[in-house]
Amino acid sequence: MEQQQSPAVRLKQLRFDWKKRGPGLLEIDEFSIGRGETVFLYGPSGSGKTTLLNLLAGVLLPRQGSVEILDQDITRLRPYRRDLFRARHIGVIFQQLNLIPYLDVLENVLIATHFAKLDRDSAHKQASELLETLGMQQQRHKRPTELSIGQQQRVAVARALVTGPEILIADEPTSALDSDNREIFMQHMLQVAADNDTTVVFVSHDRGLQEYFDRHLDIGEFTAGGGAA
Amino acid sequence: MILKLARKSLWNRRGTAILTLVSLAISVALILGINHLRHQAKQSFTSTISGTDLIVGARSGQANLLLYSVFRIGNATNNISRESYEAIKKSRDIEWTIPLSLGDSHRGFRVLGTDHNYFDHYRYGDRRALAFSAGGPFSRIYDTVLGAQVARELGYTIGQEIVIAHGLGDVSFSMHDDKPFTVVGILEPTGTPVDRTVHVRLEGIEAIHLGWQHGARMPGRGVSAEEALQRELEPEAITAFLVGLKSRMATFRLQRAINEYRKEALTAILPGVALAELWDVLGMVENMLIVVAFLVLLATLVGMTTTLLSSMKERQRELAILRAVGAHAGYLFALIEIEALLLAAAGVAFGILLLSLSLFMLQPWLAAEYGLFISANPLNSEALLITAGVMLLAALLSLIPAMVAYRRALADGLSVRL
Repeated sequence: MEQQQSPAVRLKQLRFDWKKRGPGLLEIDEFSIGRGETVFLYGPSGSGKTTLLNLLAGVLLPRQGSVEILDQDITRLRPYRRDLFRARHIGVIFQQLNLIPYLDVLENVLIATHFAKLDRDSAHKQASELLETLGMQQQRHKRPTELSIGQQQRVAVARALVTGPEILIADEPTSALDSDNREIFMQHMLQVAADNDTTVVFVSHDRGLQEYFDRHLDIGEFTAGGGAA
Repeated sequence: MILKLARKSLWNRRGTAILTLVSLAISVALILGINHLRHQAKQSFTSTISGTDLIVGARSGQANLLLYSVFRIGNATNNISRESYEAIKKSRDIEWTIPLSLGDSHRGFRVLGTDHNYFDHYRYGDRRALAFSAGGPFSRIYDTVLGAQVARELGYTIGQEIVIAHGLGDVSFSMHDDKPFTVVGILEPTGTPVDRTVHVRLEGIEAIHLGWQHGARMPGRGVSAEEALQRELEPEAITAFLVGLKSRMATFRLQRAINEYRKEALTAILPGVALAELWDVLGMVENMLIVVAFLVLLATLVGMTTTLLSSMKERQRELAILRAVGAHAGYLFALIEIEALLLAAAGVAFGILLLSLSLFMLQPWLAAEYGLFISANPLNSEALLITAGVMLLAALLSLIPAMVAYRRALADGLSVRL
């Protein structure tokens, strides 16, 4: 598989185990995701999907091996640098409750630009454009509690992508949505990601969503115990 | 940004935050209030008498002499003879003396025999002279000047006649009722024992005791008030006297001379030193109060820490989000610390406000009722030190929840355990 650019994500000789709890072991000898690629990662809950996302985001560190994001081995970065790297290059969306309750919609989006140390004016412009695209510009001064869950998740997309990250990590962002909202959310998310040429790593146990993605992966391939928790 | 987050996060939890704030404000007001009152009380106490260089009485302990001569507490062990008084008075270092003769009372208030120098030279507080709220000093033998509290509690006014009781009992059965005194002056409140004193001339004390021996009226030897005026009324002895010197340089020389006076056993004390020493004994109580106030403050701060700690559970989500958008674990640590310091700072500010307001409102009442002059401004260097201590303590105690946030951020990653 020849590529012009280096891959967005490359894992080598990766080993991880929760000491205290959780699903046994992640063992990944060699795995990479190309730039702009959209990957659907599936498997039952508790199979280590979230752990893998944490490793990609640089929030957790592997016991051994390397996590290269955009040619940078983030396991070798100093903690502060690694956090800054995440702020600038990786966007994260959770299952639900993505927003800080005491900040309004716009502030929730802008907080990401604060940690990425982006210029204020361009951050504002970027945030407004994204909210507009996602149909949330009217609600920008509302509190998260005033929004529907579907709207909250769309704000989460804006927050994750406002810094223009190369990689978007989404951890079952549609699990709390009904099917109509799920449709709208997937379209919005992938559209904005495509506009920015962002690589997407999407985790879900709902295989009905895999048709949206370029590549489908079973997390079970990475776990030592074969995926059963 | 971190300040804004801390502020908004606190506001989001305003129910518990305000309760914490209120308890902080109260305990800060308490500790600063006690500190303030301690200072004021010490100042007021140690300036019960001022401007007097020496107090002279019969030989006794320093505290005893101070207590009966200034505070009208307890009794003199012995008197000073007129000869000794006159002899010492002639010393060229002395500018003025105030004789004091104690031993009688009026309805529980001590009667003090003295002379005109009392109104001219007696000073209290910041060298304040005695002032009259009504009337003026005594001039005739049977005139009396009342302290502010005496007049207020007994409801006396100028021109009223009062009878002095023999001895110090609250209810005395031997009254000098044949020689009533007329109220000619009432003093302004001073916040000192002067307020509780009935002042008469030395000669008045002498006059009412004519015909008395061994503390009882001798039958058939009574002397009427008018007859008494014709007699020689120079007192044979006084209880103590106050000395004002021309130059304070002479204080120690004169003190030694009096203490070594050959004809009579006398003691001279420096009122400032004696007052400070007495206060040190009384100071034990105020130290206890400060300790109690400190414990209350500590309990409040521990309460604040507990509140922050228990809020960490509901804030896991919030912290995970901040972590996801790139916040360093140290940032979360700082966020919790800043929240605690914001709360503490607001608590201190409201505490000071609460205290100042209460002092300001109580001030006129305290001055009128008790002659206590308390400044409404509780801020002195010690108060600032206490305030800094509160902030430091808050910072130290909130290290615990801040540490929890920090370690969770590192250990849990972005996953939230609900």
